[in-house]
Amino acid sequence: MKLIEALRFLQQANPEGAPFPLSLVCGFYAQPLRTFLAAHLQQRLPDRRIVVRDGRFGDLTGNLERYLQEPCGAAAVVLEWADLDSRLGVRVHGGWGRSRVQDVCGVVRAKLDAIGGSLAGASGAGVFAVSLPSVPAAPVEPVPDWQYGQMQARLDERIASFAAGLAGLPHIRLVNPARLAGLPQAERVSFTSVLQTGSPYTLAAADALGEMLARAMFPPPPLKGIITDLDETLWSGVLGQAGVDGVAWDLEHRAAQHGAYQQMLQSLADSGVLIGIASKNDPALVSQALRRPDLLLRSESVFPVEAHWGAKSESVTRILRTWNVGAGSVLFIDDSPLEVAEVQTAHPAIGCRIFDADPERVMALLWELAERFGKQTDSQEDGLRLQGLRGMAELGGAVSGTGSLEKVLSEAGGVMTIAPLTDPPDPRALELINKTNQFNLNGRRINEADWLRFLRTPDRGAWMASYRDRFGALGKICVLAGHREAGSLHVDTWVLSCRAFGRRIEYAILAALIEQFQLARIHFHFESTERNTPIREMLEGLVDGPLDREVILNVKDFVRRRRPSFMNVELLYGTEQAHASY
Amino acid sequence: MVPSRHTRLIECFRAVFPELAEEDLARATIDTVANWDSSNFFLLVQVIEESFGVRLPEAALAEIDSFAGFEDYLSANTALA
Repeated sequence: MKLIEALRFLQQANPEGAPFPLSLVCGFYAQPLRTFLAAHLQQRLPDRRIVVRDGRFGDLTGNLERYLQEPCGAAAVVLEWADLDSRLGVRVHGGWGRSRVQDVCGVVRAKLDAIGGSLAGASGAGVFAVSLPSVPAAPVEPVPDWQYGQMQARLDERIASFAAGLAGLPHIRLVNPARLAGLPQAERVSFTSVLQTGSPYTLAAADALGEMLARAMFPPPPLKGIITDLDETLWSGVLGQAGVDGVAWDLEHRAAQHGAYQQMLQSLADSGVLIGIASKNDPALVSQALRRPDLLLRSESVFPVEAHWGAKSESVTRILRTWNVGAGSVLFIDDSPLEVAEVQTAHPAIGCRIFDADPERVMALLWELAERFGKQTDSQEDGLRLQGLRGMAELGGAVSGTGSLEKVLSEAGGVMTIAPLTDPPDPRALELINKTNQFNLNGRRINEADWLRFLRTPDRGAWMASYRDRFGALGKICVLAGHREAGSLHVDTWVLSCRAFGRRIEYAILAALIEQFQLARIHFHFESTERNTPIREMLEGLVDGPLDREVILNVKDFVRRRRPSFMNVELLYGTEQAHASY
Repeated sequence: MVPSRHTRLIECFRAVFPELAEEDLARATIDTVANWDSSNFFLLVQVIEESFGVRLPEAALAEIDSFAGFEDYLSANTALA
């Protein structure tokens, strides 16, 4: 993005849009980074109006302290060496030389400790995108360019320790300084600008850093699943010709790139990414091969396996149905361009990649998988996703066997626990709200700053439900948020994970809240979206007539028309809890 | 057709000073534009440098305090019409 384009883009923002406050916390002159950051955020929040606040020149720690006294919206904290000790820059002349190294490193350490402590303790103050120094420190210690000097080694040690202390915290998003350092120094740093204005970045670097910070605050949702081929993809060789022991993925068989691919899939599966197989193969042979103990992708991490001689596109259709996810959330990977073309034609939204065994291309694919599927941390729910899908398939099988969902549910031993969300809220709640498409009351996405503001508003309330039965634990699968008014509950947000469909959890949570709060009616702030048919059909079954934007459900109608759920419900509130069966 | 130097400079001023009326852009000076502070001046310089692909030396910038000043400098130092 060019600077003039960023300025124009910001000027075109909807003047009626609700303001989104953004603070740029740094010690240098904030322009042009301020403009680029605001423009990249504006792209991600088109309905809002970005309002940027920055601090005082040369006062990084003071600016952070002032922000923490009155946090709002989101904050980008941008560190540069010269802001940690001015002797590491060129504007202020405090003296250079080897004799100063210890003192400089001590000052940097003290400042980083203070900043790190403040940031670590600010878990209730919204999201912080933090970038580490990208402008080289001034040559305080005179060493040749090829030598890793004592000062640089100690500075790097300090910054690495600082980053390691913050990297796992849910409210901190560290941007990768290596990405910016990938730009040649001359394209990254402008010493002319440093001296003229106090801004260290070239326009290209400011644009790149602004984009990374905006992405850190509002990361794109990761993809959900990978459907992979087997022969010449998951392994080297053709199973039907080489046999179960003839396919390979190791160095000895010049096939280690396939082993790396398997490791990557297992790593993603451990993070909750769904892995399915679509292979034109003998199913008995596939079953044997997937049980090979040296396979780096464990067979229990793969579900479902479509191995037969039918069209790959049909396998993909069945896998998507089993996963209950849209094609746009999935990558299909196969070594055959023909198969890829066939799947792409049948499923235009799916991402397709040809697996080329050239090691360079495999590594490029693995980096892409990390980029498209990676996320900051794994949650307990990630580990339950596959279990939930297997349970769903088992439930479907049980219903087919008995012919009665009621009978299966009544014997499933379902237990739902509903707990109010406190501050700071469980991050799973926002993840559910922003990932759920099908059972979603209005499709609205909420950023962390607005979510915190909502929860801190008096009279607002939000509840999250988790569920388990004999088919497995589904984890935290439902969020409902709104406010109460004289016998009514106004619901602004209601989502239910698709892996919890079929248990009638949606009826049980309403029944529990109605009883707990003695409600006479519930007002749903509903909006129809392209994909929220499940909740629309549920509401249509409970009220008369077409759905308005405010759907009013009278409890009498609910009691008459709801479907029985056959589960025990624990409703937690404060230190109390209520039990009921619905 | 490549926009003229004048037109491009107008675009730069409009981007930095969106509050100015169209007829005031070419007449803008440090005395007539309320928001012409050091921060916006440097932003304007960066927009102009990017747009014209030039670097404006500090010595020249010390003398420039108006749209006309930028236009004169660019006339003397760029080939664009």
